[in-house]
Amino acid sequence: MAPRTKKSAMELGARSLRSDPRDAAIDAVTKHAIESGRNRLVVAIALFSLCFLTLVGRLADLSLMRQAEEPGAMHTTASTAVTRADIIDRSGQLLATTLDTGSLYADTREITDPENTAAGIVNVLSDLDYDEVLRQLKSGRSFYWIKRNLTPRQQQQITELGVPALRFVPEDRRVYPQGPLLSHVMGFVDSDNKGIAGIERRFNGLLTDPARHGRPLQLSIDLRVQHTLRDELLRGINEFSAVGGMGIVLDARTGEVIAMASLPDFDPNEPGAADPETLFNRATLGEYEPGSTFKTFNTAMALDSGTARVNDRFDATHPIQIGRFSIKDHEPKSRWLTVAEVIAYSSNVGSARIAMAAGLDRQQDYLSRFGLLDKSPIELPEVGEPQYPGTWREINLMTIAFGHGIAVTPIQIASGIAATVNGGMLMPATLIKRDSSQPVVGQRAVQPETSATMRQLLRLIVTDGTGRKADLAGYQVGGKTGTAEKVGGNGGGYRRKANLTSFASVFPMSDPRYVVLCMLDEPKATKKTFGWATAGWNAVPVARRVIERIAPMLNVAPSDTPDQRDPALLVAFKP
Amino acid sequence: MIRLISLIAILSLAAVSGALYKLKYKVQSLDRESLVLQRQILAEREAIRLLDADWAYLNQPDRLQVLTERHLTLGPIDPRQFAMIASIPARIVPLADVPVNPSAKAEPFLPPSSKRGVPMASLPLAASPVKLTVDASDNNQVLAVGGVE
Repeated sequence: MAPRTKKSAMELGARSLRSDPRDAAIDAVTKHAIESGRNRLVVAIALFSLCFLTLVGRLADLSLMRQAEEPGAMHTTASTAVTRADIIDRSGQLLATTLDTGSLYADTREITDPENTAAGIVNVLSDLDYDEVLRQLKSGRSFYWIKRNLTPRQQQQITELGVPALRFVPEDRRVYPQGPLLSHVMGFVDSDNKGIAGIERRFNGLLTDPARHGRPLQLSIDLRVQHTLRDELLRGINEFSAVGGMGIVLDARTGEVIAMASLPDFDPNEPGAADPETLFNRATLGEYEPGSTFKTFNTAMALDSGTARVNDRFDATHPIQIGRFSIKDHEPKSRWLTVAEVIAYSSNVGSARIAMAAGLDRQQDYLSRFGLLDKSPIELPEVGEPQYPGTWREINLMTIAFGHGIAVTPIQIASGIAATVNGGMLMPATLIKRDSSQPVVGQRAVQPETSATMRQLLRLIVTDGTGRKADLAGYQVGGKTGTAEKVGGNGGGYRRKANLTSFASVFPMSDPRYVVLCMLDEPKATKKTFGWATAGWNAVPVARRVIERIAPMLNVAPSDTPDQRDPALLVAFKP
Repeated sequence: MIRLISLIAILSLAAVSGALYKLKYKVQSLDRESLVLQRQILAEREAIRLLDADWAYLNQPDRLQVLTERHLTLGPIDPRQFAMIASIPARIVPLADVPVNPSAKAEPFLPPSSKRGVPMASLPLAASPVKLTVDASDNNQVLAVGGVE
């Protein structure tokens, strides 16, 4: 019914427009149908347009908006090239880097002209032997290592020989351009470039962390100071025929290690070729009886705790006899000595008496405050635990006062000396350059007034005591010598002729900036030292030469102002 | 109307696909170029690392010290060789009553090339003599006052 009506209505409407009410009704129906048809079309068109517009928009976005953006995959190829970050010194000098090298091998079955090939190889790699290479190339083996770790330039030259049987295996190689200069600090890596000693081991994770994008690790070491220290130690070892030596330069204010050397040393580029004994780091792993340098801490303890004042006198007239031990002085003054004289003349008897006045608990408390009873926090895997008696008796109290019956590492001594002179703060020793904008957190060891007195006492030792050979005009050097007989040999006890001499020095004393600790292992007496082998004759001159050379590098200007001396100290000290 | 729209659509389709074709090939060639550059950058970086290592190796303080000892007459600085700026004697000052030669001012300045053969010292700039006071007590003082005569 409805289609018919519709059709007739359309026919009618097409013919003419009439004002018949019946026709108008039919017109309305038609109009409605057309309207809804159009509406549906519009919706469909809009939908499709929207889809296309989206596509167009996306296309425009991809082609026009996001210009010059590289595919992500290439970024990774560029950044993964560095597998192990560089290590640099405090001024940015390169200490360790990783180089892409290629190792050359040959499939000798494919070599057609061994003579010419061997000649070509030897021409590029001049350290190889022509006859040996030729013999190997003729051997007919399928695999022959000609040389490991060629530089890119050498690889290029070998490739230019045009021999397809010569092939490369890409390898990463850790290179230490400074050679043996920083051996013990740097440590070394194994054949898989994994750090197995020194900084390389301690920071293995950090150096290989991809999140750092190969950012180099900056040490607190100053290359120039390091070289000077090592150079002068070597000279000292040769001059006094010592078996070894050790040196530390420490920033007294921040605890940063500016230089650290242990001799004999090794080349970290060839750790396999090194004598195992040379791998030993005397500065952090070696534990030594510090000897008289310990009197510095003993004196600081007495002054800080108030158990003795600078001009208090102690009986050093006779050796002390305790059980089967006797405590004697090296050069006995055989009189009552003031505290200042005890340290200036390095009296064992006087030091023992000062310690007895202070008592056992105070001694332990202060040694711990100077960080001498705990492992040094320095960032190396090779750090020694200090050795001290489990049960601390009176005899220990007396011998520890002058540095016997306790063994500590040299880095602990250096940190402790820094704390005695820098105003009394113990700064944790570090090999990593500190951010100068960040304040260093230290622990209070002694009061600033005690530190001021200690500065004057240590200066006195250099101007009038055992460290006279270190008195450099202008740099106001201060310090304490130490000569300890080495423990060991057969059946324990001390070895008379085998000394371990050390000098813990600080400069400039008016405002201490650096601690220089030098130690020589078994130095011998020479004609120049008039038969003496004590610290004042060998370790002190070495330290003096180190200070003389490094002070200008470290921006310490010499001053001609005379020493500030407390009148009380002058009374306390009569040469 | 519909025809016109179709025509425009077909034309733009042809234009767009042509452009797309061109673009695709351009992108491909740029891609290749970028890959080559990436490789080049990697090689250059590696070369820089190598040169850095080489530079550090050649600058080993040990080596420099040997070279210095062999070729130079320099030695470590002695503390006595330092001086503070304040301890240097006061600078030499020209006398306030220096007579200024009026003829020197009047003479126009001529570039040296126009007075070929005339020594520099006789040029108008140097013609007005500057008197200097010298602290006679210090005999070691080296005076560098040249070009007047």
